[in-house]
Amino acid sequence: MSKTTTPGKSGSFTGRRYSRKPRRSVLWVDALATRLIALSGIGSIVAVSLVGLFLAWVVLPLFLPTEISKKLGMPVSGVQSESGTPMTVPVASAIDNYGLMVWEMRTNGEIAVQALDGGAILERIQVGGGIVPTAWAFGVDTGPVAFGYADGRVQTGEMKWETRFLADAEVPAAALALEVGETHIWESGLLVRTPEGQLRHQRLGLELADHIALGDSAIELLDLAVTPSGLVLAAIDADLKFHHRRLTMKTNMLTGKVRVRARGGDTSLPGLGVNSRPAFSFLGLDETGNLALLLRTDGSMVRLRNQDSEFVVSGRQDLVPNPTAQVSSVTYLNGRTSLLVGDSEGSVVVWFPARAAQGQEPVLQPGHVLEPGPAAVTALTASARSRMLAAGYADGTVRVFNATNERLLGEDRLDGNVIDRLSIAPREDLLLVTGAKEAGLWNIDAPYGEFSMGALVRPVWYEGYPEPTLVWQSSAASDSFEPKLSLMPLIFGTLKATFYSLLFGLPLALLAAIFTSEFLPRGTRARVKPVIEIMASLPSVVLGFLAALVVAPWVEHVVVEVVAVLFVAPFGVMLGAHLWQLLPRELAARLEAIRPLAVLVSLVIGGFVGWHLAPALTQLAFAGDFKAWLDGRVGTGLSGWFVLLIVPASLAVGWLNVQHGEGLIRTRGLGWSPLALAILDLVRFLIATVVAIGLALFVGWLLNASGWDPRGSIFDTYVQRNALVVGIAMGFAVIPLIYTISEDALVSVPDHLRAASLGAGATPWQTAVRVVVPPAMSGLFSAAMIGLGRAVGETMIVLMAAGNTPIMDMNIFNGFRTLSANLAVELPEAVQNSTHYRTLFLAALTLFLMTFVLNTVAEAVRLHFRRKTSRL
Amino acid sequence: MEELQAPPAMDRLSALAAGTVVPAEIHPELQDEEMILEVADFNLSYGSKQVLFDVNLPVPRGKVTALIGPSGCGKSTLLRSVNRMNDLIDNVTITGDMSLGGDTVYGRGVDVIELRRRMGMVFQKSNPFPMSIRDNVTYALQINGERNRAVLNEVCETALRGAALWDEVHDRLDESALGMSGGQQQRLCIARAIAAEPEVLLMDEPCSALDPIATTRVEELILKLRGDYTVLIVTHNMQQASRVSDYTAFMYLGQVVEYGPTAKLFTNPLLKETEDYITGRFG
Repeated sequence: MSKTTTPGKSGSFTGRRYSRKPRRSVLWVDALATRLIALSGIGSIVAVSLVGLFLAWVVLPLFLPTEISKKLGMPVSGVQSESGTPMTVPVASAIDNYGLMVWEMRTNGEIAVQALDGGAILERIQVGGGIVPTAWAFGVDTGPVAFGYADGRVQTGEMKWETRFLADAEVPAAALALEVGETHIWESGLLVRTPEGQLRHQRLGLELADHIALGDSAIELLDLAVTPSGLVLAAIDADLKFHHRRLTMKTNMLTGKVRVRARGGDTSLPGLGVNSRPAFSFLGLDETGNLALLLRTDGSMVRLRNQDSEFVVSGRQDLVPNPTAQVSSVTYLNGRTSLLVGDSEGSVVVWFPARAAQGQEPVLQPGHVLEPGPAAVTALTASARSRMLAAGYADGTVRVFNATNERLLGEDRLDGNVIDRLSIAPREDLLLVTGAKEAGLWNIDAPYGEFSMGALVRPVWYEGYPEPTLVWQSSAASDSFEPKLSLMPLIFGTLKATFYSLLFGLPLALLAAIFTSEFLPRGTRARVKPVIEIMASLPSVVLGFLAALVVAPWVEHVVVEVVAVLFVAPFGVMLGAHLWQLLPRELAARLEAIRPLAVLVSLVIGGFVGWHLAPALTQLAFAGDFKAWLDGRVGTGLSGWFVLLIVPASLAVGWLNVQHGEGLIRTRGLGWSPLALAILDLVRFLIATVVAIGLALFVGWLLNASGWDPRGSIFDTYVQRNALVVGIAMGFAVIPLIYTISEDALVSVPDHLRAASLGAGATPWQTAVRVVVPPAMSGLFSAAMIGLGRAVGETMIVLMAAGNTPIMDMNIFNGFRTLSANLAVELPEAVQNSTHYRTLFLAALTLFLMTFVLNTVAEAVRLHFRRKTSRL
Repeated sequence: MEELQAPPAMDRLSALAAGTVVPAEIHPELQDEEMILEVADFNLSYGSKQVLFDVNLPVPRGKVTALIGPSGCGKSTLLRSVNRMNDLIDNVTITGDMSLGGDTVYGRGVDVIELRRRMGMVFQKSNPFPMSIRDNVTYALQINGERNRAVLNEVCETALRGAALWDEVHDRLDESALGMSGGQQQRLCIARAIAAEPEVLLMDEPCSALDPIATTRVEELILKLRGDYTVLIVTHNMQQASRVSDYTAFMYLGQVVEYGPTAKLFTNPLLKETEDYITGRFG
């Protein structure tokens, strides 16, 4: 700059002066913006962390340790001898719903009602009016009861807690001063002030009906089953007679007297070949009342089945294989299907019948073997609410288990006592322990005993199943239902949905991205891309709706056509490409502009031919009925193998063709005319096609001949809502996502690389594959990962189109249930804070972690690739 | 465009600025050369903007021909038209033709891929592929289907020696080409171009992004290639043109103004405009 252009004397170009100091408002806006941006950045991180933390917070209680702890000691209810030990042994007991009182029946036929707080005896009831019963049976908790006597008679009845709310005027003055929760002994029961301020009175009520004569000799064992059609009674008397009765109660409207009608028969056990050496120790009826189990002290079990009102022996088994051990305690688990057998060496085994083949008798399986105890098992009791059970041992040890997952929930000791009787409160929060000399009440702190980490991921042997399995079945109609909480079927379903949707969507999306970024003129590309992106705004519920109500029923009818099109259409394109080579060079160059159209036409023709080939293929390969073929009723596995193998066989043959065939043409075909070369290429392609088909058939034939049939695993019975349908529908959901990101990645590859490659004489396809795709790999990978994440988390499509059966089945024609769909289905109905509820949150946490890990891996790999190509 | 009458020399620049086509001054020495590339009445427009006007340029075989001229004069466009790289841009209109070794470039039924394989191109910015040095050099052979490793290695060595790069990189042929220095990268691009044995090597300002030392090495390389290859080079740097080229064409506003032997053009041009440009009086 020369001197003449120097501005005026003020030293300013424009004649104005500016303060060098930034204005206050500028600083203020800058500070505000900095803080706001920092705040929203940190806020979003915190928000995501909070979601994870909240999920973890809800899940955490599942993993807290469980224990039982002594709450209070009590005197035993039985009449004591001079030495201080009772002369009787407790045979049954139960705690009330509120955890305030307990009843206990002893061998002398006396039922004592005792307050838990203080241990005061509230009432003593003598069963049988002074005649000591010889056998007894109690239904679930309280409810129906039955007593057998030495004269061969049986008396049924009803025993239950009687609760009533009283007005202040009805109660003694002392009770009026009761604070909330305080109790007052009154009228053989307890008065308590409820949190609502009412006075509630509760006592044990026992009403017995008339006697029923079963036989002449003493009833030795008795059991009672509550069935939908009434009570069923089974008994064994001293004459080794097995008595079976169905009872119907009739209440006389005028007198209120209950008349019992008993129908049934008597069977002589020796007549069935059943003797009583060693002596019977247990008689049990199952839930239906048609199956009776007789257990001897040595563990040998005889099962009797009601066959047309006649009882026959339907199985014999040894439930205590250990020859030195004796059966010391037996009871049914909740639901009267699983039998708990404790022996004199301290082992407790849960036996249940496994599902048997048609016409065969089920065999009891030792489904669960609980942790061996320190001494003989002297008491076993099962909760009436879940699979919780308690075991007492001769050395005073008390343990609480969950039978399903074999978890030891807690252990404690009542020192110096043989445990005679245990009772779990209806709410599973209290355990009554009656020893030989003293009794006590324990707190059970195991609200989520049904949950165990192992059962989430490892096979568990559930009641009635032939073997340990991975099952998710969180609820059922029956109260005695065993929850099956394995996450594996849900994770499997999630992966299955993801796999099939990416199998469908990923190649389409990636190829579409390569097509628009590398083959389309920029102007066209600018119009095509937004159109595909609009697909992303399609609500997934609409996709799911279409998949479930339109695609699924349609695919069911045209599944062979769909598969045929999938294979024939690409072949049509390849054939079209080879035919195109036959065109004279000049004509081909002139028609260059319509080549994409020609590809489309050959695709459509291929699809059309495939579609109309399908009926013939069905006849040829699937014996005319595809669904019957899938079921394995007709045809052989060969056609299945062919469908599976044709793609790898084509790839292998194509690779060999390129590796060796092209070199051959290069060396031999020098100087040939282009038309001759094109014909040679076409012939080569046709031969390769035949070889690929032959290879697939041959390998398929080998596999088929060696006894492997793809039916039963990847192909199986056709279900309308299946993985194929979900794959197509969810493919549509992930295609725009993968397409957009990978298209951006491809376009961001610098143009000078394309120019270099094209300038060197590479075709657009060679340029795309060799030069453009490698640097864009990071973007393509993260596109695939984000698509994967979307597929993993997608809910509505799978919810509507996947059938929601939580089964682990590779079959592409079967449904599944994903973690996300499971949450959508079950969370609204789960009882808040129950094991089920928290396990669902654990499923949500698993889903969260899966997508989190996927995205993190995607980001890490993307950064790794980007570092490699950052110098471009 | 209607006035085909040649205006007076002093008015040539204003006539060019007005879009009038003025025939170039072509030195007679060129008539003795055997031509490999002929550009005939070549016009090119980007949309409605015409960038090349009736360009006629014969390129002699085995010689280095430089295109000089101020920015935007169309020399790069002309170079890129030779191997039809302008096809990649939308909205390009072309009239006229070129011929490479007697074969038409823009005629109907030309296989562009084959055409490009007959030429090599080196760009302004070095653009090695993100792959190993060896794969970069042998890229043209690989896309042509050559799989024989021995052939590839041999060509790789020959081309790298030809590009005076062998001694520097022979022990790291399998490392990424992106780890090389800028000058090495540009020589690698030249090696990549000559590995395909092109009939014409097109260079688009190959040294504009290089430091003086790297520039010297590339210039030495171009001098070494002279005789074996036909080189058509676009350059901004007139010293470079005078150092490396046998013939130089001066272009201005989409037209060739003067075309002749480099020594003559730089020392004794026929036109005053050329002298003015070369001595830096405009441009």
